[in-house]
Amino acid sequence: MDTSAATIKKHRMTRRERMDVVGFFAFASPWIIGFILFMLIPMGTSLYISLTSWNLLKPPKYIGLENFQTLFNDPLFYKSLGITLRYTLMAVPANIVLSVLISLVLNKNLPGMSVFRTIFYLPSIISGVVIALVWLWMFQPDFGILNNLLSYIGIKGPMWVYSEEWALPSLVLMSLWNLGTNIVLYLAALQGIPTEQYEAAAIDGANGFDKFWNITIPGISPTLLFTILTGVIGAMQTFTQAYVMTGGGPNQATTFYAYYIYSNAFKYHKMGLASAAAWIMFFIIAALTLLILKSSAGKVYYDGGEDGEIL
Amino acid sequence: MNKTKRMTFSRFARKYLGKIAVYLFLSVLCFGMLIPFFWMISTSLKKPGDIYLLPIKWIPDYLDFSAYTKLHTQFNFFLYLKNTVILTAVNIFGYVLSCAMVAYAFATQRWKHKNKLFLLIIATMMLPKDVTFYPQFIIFRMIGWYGTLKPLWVPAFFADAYQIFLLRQFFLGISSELRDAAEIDGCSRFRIFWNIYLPLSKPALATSAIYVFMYHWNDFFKPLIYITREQNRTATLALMYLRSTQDVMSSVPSQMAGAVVLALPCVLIYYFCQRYFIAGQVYKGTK
Repeated sequence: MDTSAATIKKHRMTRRERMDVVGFFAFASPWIIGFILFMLIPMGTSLYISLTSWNLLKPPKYIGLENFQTLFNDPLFYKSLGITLRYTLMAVPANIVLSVLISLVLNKNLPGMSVFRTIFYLPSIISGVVIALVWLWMFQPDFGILNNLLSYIGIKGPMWVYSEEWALPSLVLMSLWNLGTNIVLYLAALQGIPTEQYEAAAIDGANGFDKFWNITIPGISPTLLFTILTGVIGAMQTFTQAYVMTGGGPNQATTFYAYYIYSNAFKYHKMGLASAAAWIMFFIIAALTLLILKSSAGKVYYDGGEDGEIL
Repeated sequence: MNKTKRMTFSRFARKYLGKIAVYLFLSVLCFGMLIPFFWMISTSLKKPGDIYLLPIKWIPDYLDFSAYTKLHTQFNFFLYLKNTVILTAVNIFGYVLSCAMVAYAFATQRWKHKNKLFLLIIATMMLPKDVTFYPQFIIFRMIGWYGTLKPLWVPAFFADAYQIFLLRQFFLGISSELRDAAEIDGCSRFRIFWNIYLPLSKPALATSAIYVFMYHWNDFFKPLIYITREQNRTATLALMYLRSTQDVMSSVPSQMAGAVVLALPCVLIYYFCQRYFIAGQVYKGTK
């Protein structure tokens, strides 16, 4: 009797349960429909388009893996990847070291810190186009404020984004204006480290560096991992600076990979090639993400499992 | 005597030198951080010819607002600003409403596989924007939305993973007893959502709205791709086109004036709603 009742219960939902499921899907439908319409179908279609030749005017023509071959034979493909990786390797570590340093200082309980925090955060609320235009005008070699400042200490400033050699470092420098987001995250993480840990370490005679290395770094390690991941993913997709400031130049020195895809799609109208290039970008970013997650395994400390839990 | 004096000095040093170093370090860095803002405002208030005077004038001799009036008279900037305002408003409305609905489904409704589905939402958060962008463009192009404003606002009504995540977390914090009591009183699911959950979640909805505002107010890439007609341009797009006007000489102060006009609402909202900002940021980071 009991078991049969249980099986019936298993197979037949009560009216209430059915209504629950209907309710769930009614409320969740915007995302489900959106996921299918704006994610699944487009990604599937673009997978097919990457195997075609399509100039947006005539219908796409199937050409197999030719797009990938064309990309792998294009020197600019490798150059743009190299530029993007170099930029990422310069900008992300510099950003993280600086923001950790500043957060450590801001975390001291001194008056006026909130003013400094606000100033550091300000650049991160401003449009990329605004930032690009303002910095372009700052980089102006003769009338810009940067070379003017340098001239006060007797240095003749470089040509910044207008020279092949300096263009990429200039954009790295510019990216360091935007530390606010990370600083806010590190400050929140620092405040989550129990002060008793530092007190105990002080009793054991630990010096400042010991405390930093053995308490602070493990304490903020989940945040560090998060900022490294978002930093790398963001830097790999750098586009606005190249589009607005340099047009990928001078002499292709700032042709980022995202700009390379964009040019293929909208300058040369090679949509199939651009789709193939975008899929390569997907696999590169996925591989980098896995690499970072793998190499961080065992080095990131989640406190009580609370932060790591998603559900 | 001498010994005590030295001791007081070292005590003084220990007490204040560290603090002085901290303030010095932060002041120098913040000075650097403020230079771009200063240069932007200062240039926007110069007469076009004056920006090419040497030595450079950090502060203009007198304030000249012609760059701002030119934005309106010569570059039609307020039309583009209006476009941005409308698009941003529709996006805020769409995202906040749809994300709240979906978040409500995941936080309160019962379906046995809903946690697995939620993991899928989290997974889409990890997808780089570029990776979904080109596929979307292809689809929008195929269904004839290219050249219209639809790609810039229709997706708003189909929710966004990050906002869903944020709002769901907030909804989970609302006592389920409240919901049970309302159910017993015969409240429909929708009324519980509309009359109980939404009013109780104003801080989370505000955080979400601000996040959407910042993103769409500042967005450049999508307008660049989808907007083909001049009268549809958003302000960020118009600002970019200011760069390529013939009259470069006079356009720099106007570029900077446009930059000020675009940045100002963001700064104001940040100033007045700081706590919502930080909440959203930190949430994102500790996910």
